[in-house]
Amino acid sequence: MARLNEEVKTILKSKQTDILDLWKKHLFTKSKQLIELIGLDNLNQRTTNFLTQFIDALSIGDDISQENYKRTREFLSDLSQEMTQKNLTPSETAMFVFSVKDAIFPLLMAEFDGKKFVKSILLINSVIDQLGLVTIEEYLNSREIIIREQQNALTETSVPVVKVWNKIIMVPLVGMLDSSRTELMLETLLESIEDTQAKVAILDISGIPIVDTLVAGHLIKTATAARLMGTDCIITGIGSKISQTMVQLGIDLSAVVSRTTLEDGLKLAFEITNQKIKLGE
Amino acid sequence: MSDIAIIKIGNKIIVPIQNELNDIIAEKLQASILKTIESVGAKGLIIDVSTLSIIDSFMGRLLVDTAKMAQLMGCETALTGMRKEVVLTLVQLGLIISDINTSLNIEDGIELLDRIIRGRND
Repeated sequence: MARLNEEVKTILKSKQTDILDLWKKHLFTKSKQLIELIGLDNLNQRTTNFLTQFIDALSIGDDISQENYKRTREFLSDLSQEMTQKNLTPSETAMFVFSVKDAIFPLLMAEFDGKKFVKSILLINSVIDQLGLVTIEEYLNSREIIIREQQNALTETSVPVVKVWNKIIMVPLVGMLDSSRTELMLETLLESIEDTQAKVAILDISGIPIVDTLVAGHLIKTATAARLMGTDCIITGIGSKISQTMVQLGIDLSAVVSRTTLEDGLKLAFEITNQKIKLGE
Repeated sequence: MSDIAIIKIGNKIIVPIQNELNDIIAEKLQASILKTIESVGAKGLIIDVSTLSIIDSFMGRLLVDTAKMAQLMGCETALTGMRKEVVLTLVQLGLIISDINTSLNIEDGIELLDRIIRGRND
């Protein structure tokens, strides 16, 4: 395992203030937004901390998965998470680490030459690159978490089953109907059929922008399942555009009753369940 | 030996299947259902599967076949009370039981059969 030469380490330690100044100068020109988000006081503290930890860790080894880099890694992860939440681009966050190179290399260049110089440069270079990747990985992780949370929120609210009337339930479908949502819809629908013992289920697809063969397949599957439980399925909200595309695509929905408006669907549902509404005076 | 009750009410027969059947007993049940239809001259048959949590492809086909056989003998069939797990598996496996009347429960099944039988006589 390669590690930093003692001599180089002493130099870096003694020149720490110079490095810091140079580094901050680079940060000011390259990642203004980052500095704005962190704040000037905070920046001083963070850069100092980072540099101290970094130089100490360098003198032990160059494998950043080791214990000596633990604090540096955690520091960068926290920074990246914070910046992601504040909508900073991952390149700017990574620039925070990468600009350390611009601060250290000129100093080393002035102090050494030849083999020792190249060796130290290569070592520092490889470690900083790895640390840069840590920030990007953390960025991706934070994004993943956000995406997962949103997905959960979406699935939770995506399939409401509404009891409209005695023995009539309705599922208003909004957005794209993919396989996983169909599964969810099917399950929720069948569950509420079991609970409410509804005789008619109305699937309102007014909120579905495009009905292709796949979506139609899902609808038919749902209707068949409801039918097996003993509940009739009515599909409403089939507008002119959807009916056109359906016929052009050769989708056969004849197994399912369909209506243009929810109103007509409801009327039909009342007929099927032998119910009438009397409007009072 | 199958110990499944075959109950006659009016012009209908009700068969509540209450435990999972193996293939042999299921076939025996089919035979005795048909025999009962023949002997009492039933016009309607209700098979209630509300307590079954599994209906496999064999059972599914057997039920559809029984309905078709009963139809040949002039008896309408309704399959009642299929549970949601059962329906989900059937649909996911693509084993769609079509050509058979289904109802939420026995009560609805009786109503449905009454309607069909009445329509037929008209």
